[in-house]
Amino acid sequence: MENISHLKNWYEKGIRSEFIEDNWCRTRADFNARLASYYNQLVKRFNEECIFLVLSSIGEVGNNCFDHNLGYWQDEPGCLFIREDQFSLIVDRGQGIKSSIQKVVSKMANSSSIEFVYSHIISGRAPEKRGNGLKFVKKNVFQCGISLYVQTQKERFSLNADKNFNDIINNIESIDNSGVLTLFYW
Amino acid sequence: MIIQVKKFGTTLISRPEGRDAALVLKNQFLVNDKSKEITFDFSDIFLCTPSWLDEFLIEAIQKYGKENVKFANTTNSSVKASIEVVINS
Repeated sequence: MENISHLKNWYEKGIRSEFIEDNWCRTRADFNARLASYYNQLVKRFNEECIFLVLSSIGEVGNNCFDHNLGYWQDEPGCLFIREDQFSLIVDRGQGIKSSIQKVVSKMANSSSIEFVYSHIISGRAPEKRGNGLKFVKKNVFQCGISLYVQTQKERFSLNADKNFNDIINNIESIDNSGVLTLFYW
Repeated sequence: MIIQVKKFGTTLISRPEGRDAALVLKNQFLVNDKSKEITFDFSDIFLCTPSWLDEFLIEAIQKYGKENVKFANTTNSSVKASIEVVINS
């Protein structure tokens, strides 16, 4: 994670460097095109089953940036999509998970909003009753043996973390914003 | 009735695009169909997500019933997994 300072400056303060511009998806179509071409980069890393499960999981998370932040972008609409051989990072400066689901879920008990959306059929787009994309992501993380880390506001959540993954998390968990940061690592 | 899903695209990811595809499906393919069941053929699909599929299938499920919506050529793992999630939810 060599460009952590660029990530921090943009995520916390909206300061955009060349690194941010290079990995910036202004629109959903831009994100989807970059996702499709990511296949060529990952084809040697995953078997035929998991490559499509991993790509579709990244697709769910990336499209959520655009689905859930209309009218709530902190500045310029879009998301950061970093595509590396060993990890993928999707970050938006939107309203965050808790703010999004609070509009449709009145009682969340004391559970974290991240854990909640990765475990329940829930949509932030009221009055819609569907929304199972993140349960799909969670299932694929376990099925393909990859790791997942999500942070939003003060909440942190990880699945399948090992030592190498925790070292990466340690670099980014102090970065703070009300948007959503999702890291897939393999 | 058999629908070739690739005619709606081969990278099927976003919910709004799924909704757009569902409206075309409803107004141009399902509106005059008298069949009792429908089969979606997923040959040549590159990538699919539950969000896209959830939106796309809703009109067909309403018209034919979930038990009469069939699937063919679901070898792509993202297609297979998305169908499982959407149909079983």
